[in-house]
Amino acid sequence: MSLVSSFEKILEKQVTRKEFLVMCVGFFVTIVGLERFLKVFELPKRVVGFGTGPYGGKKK
Amino acid sequence: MHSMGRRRKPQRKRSNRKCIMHTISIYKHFQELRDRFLISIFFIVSASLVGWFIKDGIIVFLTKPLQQTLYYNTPSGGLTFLIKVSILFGVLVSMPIIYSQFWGFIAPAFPPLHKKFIRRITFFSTTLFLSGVSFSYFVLLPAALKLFSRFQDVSLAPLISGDAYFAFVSSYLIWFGILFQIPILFLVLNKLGFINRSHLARFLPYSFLVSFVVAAFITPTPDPINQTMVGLPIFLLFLISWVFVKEEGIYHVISI
Repeated sequence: MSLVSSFEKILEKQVTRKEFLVMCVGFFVTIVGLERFLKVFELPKRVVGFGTGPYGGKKK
Repeated sequence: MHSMGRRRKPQRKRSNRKCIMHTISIYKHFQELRDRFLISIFFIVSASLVGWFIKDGIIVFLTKPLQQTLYYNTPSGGLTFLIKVSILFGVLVSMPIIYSQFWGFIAPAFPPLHKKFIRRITFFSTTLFLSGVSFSYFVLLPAALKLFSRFQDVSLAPLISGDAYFAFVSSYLIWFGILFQIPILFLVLNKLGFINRSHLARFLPYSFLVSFVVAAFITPTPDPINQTMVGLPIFLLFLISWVFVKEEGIYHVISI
């Protein structure tokens, strides 16, 4: 199954408005939480060692 | 003869109404979300354009509590400031539309929030938002600016930039507009059966402390006068919520 068709299959899934809102809130909380987590622990800088800005920065 | 004794008060029945929720595809949900978002954006942009034409009046109104000329320290600072002022005007004016679109999207998730209730909620949300904005503009902002102006001296004069003043004023106005939504939040939670009057009554003593903690975070000044001026209205909003919230049953929702 191609990526597009599996994505279309997800979009065609029948859900109630409540389930949809829960999905949206869950997605938002995950993204914001992940962003905070990466920022606080500076993971890209520690693990990968490259990148600029608050998430990384090349080690000198 | 049938005695006309004391008549019993009719006991409030716990609501056992059944609500039906319809399922539609995720794509349709996204379509509705996009449409409502576009409607809100359209109104914000239109109102901002109107704001652009009356920008001089808005700037005079915004700087009235400060009574000083504002400065900008980058070549494009003046334009950025005017655009920000127009957008703030656009957002504030479009608030009824934004609220109606927001509640219109949320309502199908909670069947007890029927159309009539949504119309009322939109009206009260807008009224409370405008009350919050007015309260912060006419009461809190002049008080806070007066307090800050005490620190200027012969050797220490303010040179306030338009951007800094805009950030200060807009955060005050918008925070208060949002905080004044507390009664609406409690009313909706009550309507959905999550909380009732006895829950709020139990929380009431703590709400005093919570109001002052929230006020400490919002106020930019460390003085207790400003904190009290912010904390008391928040506590009053809790009290208003307690008056309007009812003892209601929980709806049973069925998905089909």
